[in-house]
Amino acid sequence: MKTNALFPGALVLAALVGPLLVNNYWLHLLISFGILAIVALGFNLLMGYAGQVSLGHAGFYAIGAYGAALLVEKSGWSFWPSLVVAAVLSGLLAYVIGLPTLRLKDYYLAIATLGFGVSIQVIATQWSGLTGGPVGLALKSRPSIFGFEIANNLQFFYLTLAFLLLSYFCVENLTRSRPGRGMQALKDDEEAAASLGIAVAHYKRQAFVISAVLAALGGALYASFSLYINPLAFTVKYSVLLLAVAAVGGLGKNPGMLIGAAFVTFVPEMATAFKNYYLLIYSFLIILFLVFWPSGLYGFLEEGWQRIADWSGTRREAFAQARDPALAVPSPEERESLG
Amino acid sequence: MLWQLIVSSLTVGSIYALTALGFSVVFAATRIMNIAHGQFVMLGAMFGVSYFVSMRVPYWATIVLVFLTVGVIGVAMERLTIRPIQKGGASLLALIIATVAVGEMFANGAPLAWGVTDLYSPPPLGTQPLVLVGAATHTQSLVILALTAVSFGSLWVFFERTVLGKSVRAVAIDPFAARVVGINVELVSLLVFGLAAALGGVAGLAISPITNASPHMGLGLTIKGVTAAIIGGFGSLGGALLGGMALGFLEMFVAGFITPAFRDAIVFGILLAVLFLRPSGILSRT
Repeated sequence: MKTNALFPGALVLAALVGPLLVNNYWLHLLISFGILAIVALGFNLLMGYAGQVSLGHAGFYAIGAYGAALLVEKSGWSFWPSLVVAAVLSGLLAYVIGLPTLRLKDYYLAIATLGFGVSIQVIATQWSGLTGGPVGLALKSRPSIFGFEIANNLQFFYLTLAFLLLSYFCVENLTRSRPGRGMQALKDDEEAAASLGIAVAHYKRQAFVISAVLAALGGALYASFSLYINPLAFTVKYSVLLLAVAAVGGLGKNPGMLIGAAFVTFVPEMATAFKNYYLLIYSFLIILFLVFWPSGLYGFLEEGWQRIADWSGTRREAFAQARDPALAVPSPEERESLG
Repeated sequence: MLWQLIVSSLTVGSIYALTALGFSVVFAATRIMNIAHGQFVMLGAMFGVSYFVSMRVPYWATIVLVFLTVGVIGVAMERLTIRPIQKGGASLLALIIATVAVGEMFANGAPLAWGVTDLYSPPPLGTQPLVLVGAATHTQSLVILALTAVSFGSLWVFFERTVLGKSVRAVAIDPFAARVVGINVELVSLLVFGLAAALGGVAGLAISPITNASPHMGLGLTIKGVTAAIIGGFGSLGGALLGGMALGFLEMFVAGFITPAFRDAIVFGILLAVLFLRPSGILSRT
């Protein structure tokens, strides 16, 4: 139990202290990573736990971004209420889309969300009176929170980190509780889960709504971080990016989403020569991981860690037995005398 | 105006029906929604321009070459992605994600081979518009209509009259039972992927004089094709034809009488409505 808390604790500490030591360029990347990780956590809840795939999460991301940006810029709201309204709107839309699609077997959600994502993009491009059309929308200032203005990237990083930790905590708790187990059961076999009294459609919808809310949260953060949005940021490419995060990190593993998001954020920066081909490479990686390493990088790490633990565990037992005769396996005669 | 709209609706409907066909065939036999299918249509258009324009191959040979090239790509996709993932015991979900990834590979790889701009594809019957009962029609509309008739007709014969076609239908009904009576299920899966891709490729060749051959056309066709297949009833030939036509007419009439700006958003609304009211499609009997 002690080692279980040690590693995440160290990670959080590093996330708190690390940004103080890096330059603006890295801060920028770290914020992008945090936003992507928040969206990926929700995406994984839907795909890795409830076993449904959405190809239109870019749409919910866009609703968060445009919702927050429009409420702040055009209606003069402050950051918090516009964030909440954008997230609730996104969740409601997910509920409506999930209503017809998630009571069906097969993957109608994939098709419906693909259509949804494209529709949102069409609306963002065509309804220029509201969204600024292809030109996009500029925001005047970073959000201020309870009177405290987020002025620089470092402060924005801590805001993102707070949201990431909160999202992680909520998703992790959910997946370890009754709804999470229900989702996993229906993912393996819908009919068997239903026969055990699991409300299949209800849990699928719940996962979808939560994932849409997290995507909108990420979108709102993205808009108030970059201070400029246009429809090109919300194409189906973003949804494919999320698939890459999930496949590379490890489907159905919450820590895997952090690894996947880090991979997708940092690796292209190291190999700038490939930047123009990154979607080609990501789609290739998705296939590669699905075929050869379905449990992703996190599964790979987990397996390695397990091997080390097993190895040191057997060593420790052997030492203990050698030293303490009471722990040694009793011989047949001894067993008889013990009764 | 009305007659003109009907003629263009028939053309657009045929394009959607031809795309829906490939989805339905693959879905019926394997339960996989092949999101990459629209990209086969795109590849057909691109290879068509390469063969017909760049290499000056005669049109009939271009059709055959496109059928073979894209068919082989479909077979390769099944062999290299679908089969190994199935063997690993992964879920249907993983297979659908794989088709998304394959589709994105094609969509992002095509500009490397053909450039990012649309390519002009000359119509084989000439550019002079035909005037039929007062409506000006692209000559290529006739080619598309003919191809639709030929594709659906020959597939119907294949599924109803040949042993191989009947074995595909048997796998669609129950793969396990089909295996029991000696049908090679793996071969059927390979066949439907290849056939769907090849037909999609020829459809792409046929529509390219109207739409231009563009590396970006695949995803839009995927969405329209699947929507058409779902509207008509996923997995049946008649459903694909009817769904494609219904979608083509709806879209063109909405664009003609109301607004052309939100065409794609309206298609999505129709899809949701069908899933809500009649999820198994208009042709279903339940």
